[in-house]
Amino acid sequence: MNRSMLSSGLQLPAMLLLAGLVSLCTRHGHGADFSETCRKVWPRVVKIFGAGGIRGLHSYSSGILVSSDGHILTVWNHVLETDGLRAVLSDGQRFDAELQLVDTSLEAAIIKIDAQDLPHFDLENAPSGIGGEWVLGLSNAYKIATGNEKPTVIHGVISAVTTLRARKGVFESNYGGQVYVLDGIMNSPGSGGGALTNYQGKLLGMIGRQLKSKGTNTWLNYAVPSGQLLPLVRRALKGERTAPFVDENKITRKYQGPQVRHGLVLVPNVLKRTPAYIDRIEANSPAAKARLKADDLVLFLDETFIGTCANFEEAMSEHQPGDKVKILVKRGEELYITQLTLE
Amino acid sequence: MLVPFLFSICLFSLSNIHAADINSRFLESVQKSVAEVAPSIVMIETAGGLDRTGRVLKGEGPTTGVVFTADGFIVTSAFNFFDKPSSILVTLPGGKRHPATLLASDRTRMISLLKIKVEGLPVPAWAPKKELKVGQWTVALGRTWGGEQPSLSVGILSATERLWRKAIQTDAKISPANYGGPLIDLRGRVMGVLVPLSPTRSGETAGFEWYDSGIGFAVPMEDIREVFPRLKAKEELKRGLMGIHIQGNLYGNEVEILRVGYGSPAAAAGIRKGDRIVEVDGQKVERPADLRYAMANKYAGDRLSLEVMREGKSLTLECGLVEKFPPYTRPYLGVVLDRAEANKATIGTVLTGSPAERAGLQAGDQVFKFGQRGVSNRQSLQMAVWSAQPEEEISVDVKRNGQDSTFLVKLERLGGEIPDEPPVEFLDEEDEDHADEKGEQIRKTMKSWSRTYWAYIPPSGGRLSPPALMVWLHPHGKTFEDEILTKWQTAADERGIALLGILASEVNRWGRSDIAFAKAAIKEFQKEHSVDANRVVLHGHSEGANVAFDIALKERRTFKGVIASGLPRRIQEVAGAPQVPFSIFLISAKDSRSLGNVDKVRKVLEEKNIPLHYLELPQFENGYLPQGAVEAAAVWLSLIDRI
Repeated sequence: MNRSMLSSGLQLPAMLLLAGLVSLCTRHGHGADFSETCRKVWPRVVKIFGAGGIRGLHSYSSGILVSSDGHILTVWNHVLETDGLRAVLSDGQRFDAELQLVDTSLEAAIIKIDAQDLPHFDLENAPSGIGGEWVLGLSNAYKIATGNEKPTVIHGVISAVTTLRARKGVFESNYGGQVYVLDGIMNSPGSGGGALTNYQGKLLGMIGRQLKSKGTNTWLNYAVPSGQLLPLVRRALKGERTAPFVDENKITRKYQGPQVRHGLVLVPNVLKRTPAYIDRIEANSPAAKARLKADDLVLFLDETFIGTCANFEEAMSEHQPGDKVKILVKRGEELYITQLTLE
Repeated sequence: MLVPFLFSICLFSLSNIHAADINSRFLESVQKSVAEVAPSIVMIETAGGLDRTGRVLKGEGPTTGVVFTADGFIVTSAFNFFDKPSSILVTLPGGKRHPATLLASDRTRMISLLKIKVEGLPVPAWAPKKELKVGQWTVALGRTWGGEQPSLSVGILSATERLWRKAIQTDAKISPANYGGPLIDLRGRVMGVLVPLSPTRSGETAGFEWYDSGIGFAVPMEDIREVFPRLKAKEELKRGLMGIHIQGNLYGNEVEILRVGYGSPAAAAGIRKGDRIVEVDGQKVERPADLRYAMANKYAGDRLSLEVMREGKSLTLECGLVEKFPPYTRPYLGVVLDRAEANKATIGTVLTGSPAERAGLQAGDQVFKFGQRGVSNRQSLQMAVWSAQPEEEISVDVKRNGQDSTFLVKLERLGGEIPDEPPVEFLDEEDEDHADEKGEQIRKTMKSWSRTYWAYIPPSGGRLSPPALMVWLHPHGKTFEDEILTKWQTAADERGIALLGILASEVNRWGRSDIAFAKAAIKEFQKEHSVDANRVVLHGHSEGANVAFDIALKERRTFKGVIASGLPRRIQEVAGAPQVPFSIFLISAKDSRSLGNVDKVRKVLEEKNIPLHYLELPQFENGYLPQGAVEAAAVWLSLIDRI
């Protein structure tokens, strides 16, 4: 008796529930998908057209609107090196753009279009990403979106939060700060300057230019976190301008410090990857004091993996006399750790 | 009204579980499963080694491995060692470093086993194969990026039982950043170890070209557990071969044996042409693909139990598997067949000191059976001898003076030594007057090539068979036409050898078109002048020797040997096979620059069981061979058709 009343009483609410769920799902775009987010983010990503088109250099890239009056964050590359720079909004509006501010160490730039009331990302309140998080990459990869076509959206997760300079010489890049490594194929020709957002549409970072990792000998998919870009955006919003063409050699030129003596003579560096075996130890040298021996294989200097003679020279060149360096060598089948005090 | 009210509350709360919550819950479960496995994922660094293998450059960054046992066995991808590093270092989560030894690899799945001296490592949970479901979430983990947390890529399981059931497939991004790392499920269990694999190629770097493509492979943990004891025992696991050729395509509807390889385990097991394989190790085999599945988990050194159908009867045979087959060794009977009677297998000459002589065979004997094989002409006897086992004792049935006799011959291996015989000729005994005959010199321009060759055709000398043919390929810089004619003519007349000289378009170098022209010229000469097809060889001096090998290796059925007074570059490609006899007469001079490599070349040829006659001269004579060497070469050539 009770049971039958209950069951008949359940029918109406159950139907209501169903109807409600259906309408909710429609409104929110099928529960767990990214359609809402895409709609929200599209108008904040622009297509950029500039110099290039010869010698395999593409003449297009992507950009992120960071203010309502037309500041666009993008990658600093050859595309911007022209007076005929143009930006195309996702609704198809075209604007002449002007290079405003460049940060070569970030490999980022701000270009400016003359417009108002634009939808944009707020970098002041941008969150940080974490490993395993769903992300969306929005860009004009391969110049596939034309006119008022929306940017391409690619999903993936953050594979790792790391720094490009974690290992020296692994990337041919001026930028050595934090990056999000991504598992989606987000870095393609033209996608540099695109937006990386979380699934709620908040800006996590800017898709970087194409880089090949020497670490894995594969193309890298990565973005520069919003937090790293914020100072540049702040300067731009304050109206700062920069001389656009900076001599990049100035940035990459190395500081040549005084020569250090370690007393460690490696085997002749004949191959590209000659293993860093110790050939002999100079008498009374730091290496002798550290009781290193001939035939030891140098594997680590502090936290830097060595392995090759070339890496050893590079790592040593960054030290000053008086530095204490932890050195890990392989002797026979055993590892031996000691400390060198450089002279 | 209470009930609907309650439900509307439910409904309201449900509506809040939209994208954001589902996503954050997904993230939580990814992180939780990664955290379970992370302590078992190690970083691998290598020192020394090659820069590249083929077109694949080795990355400089660290790679990944998975703890397999608590006492220091680490499983990883063989890709990580394709550069053959001299030293391997494993860094455990937390930063402790240990030198590692590479114990062994499974070359069919590209899995390697490392050992470090440490106890108490955390061993991850693993998922059995039967619990893997296509469509389930997968996370691929790697250590390339350093840091506390492994790098990760999320995808789904795209397929199980891929690549002949060797691998499972995922659409997570698989690359050197995670090769050797684990593919895990959302319960934190290792499903498999990530490796590059290719359906069409093998080797350490095969499959690398698909990195980050959405097609990635992992070897199931369950399979690795199965081979672990063998890898631990330092057994290098390689693909196992039976040595059979099968009729039809992979999905045909029977497995009929077309050919059994010489010296193969299949031959040793007694498998024969025409047998049909119906079962392997208790598994039914209906099409070639079934056989391939059955063999995918087998290695060189394993044994198979085969059920085959032969003439309507079922037989059970045991067959071993090998990594590669022994090189072909050509058996030697010790006769020259009567060249004038190609349609019969008549012994023309029994060579001194040969197995045939010891067995009592005589010139004039007509062979009609060799072992179990019926023999009707020269060619079928040749093939019967060449398909036998060297050192095999075999019965030879002959007709002698109208009587059938059987002789038991213990075959030997055909070596490079030149039999010490007077010229073996088959002469027309009624026609004895040849004193006035002269050889003929020819110079001919081939119209379609606008190129010229020269030739010398010896007088018939009453021979009933056509002459042998020596094709001359001159060294760079000089055609040596006169020297060849002067030094070879006597031997050519005496032994019946035609000479054919090919001229490079520029005397200073042999180009591609010259080689094509040489082939065309030889073909035309053979068509216009009768030559003995069993005795056609190329002769090259210095750079010409290389050209000779180039042509001979491409046209194995035309050329029976090479006389090379210079060292060949492509020696590795020389291989013996029953149906294509091939011998080499190699001459070097002590004063020639390339002598240093002679030993290497001889060793390669010896390993491949290619009959080699080697002659070392103190020096060449005016840039060519002295008369004695030419005469030795002529004898060698005139008897090259001995079997």
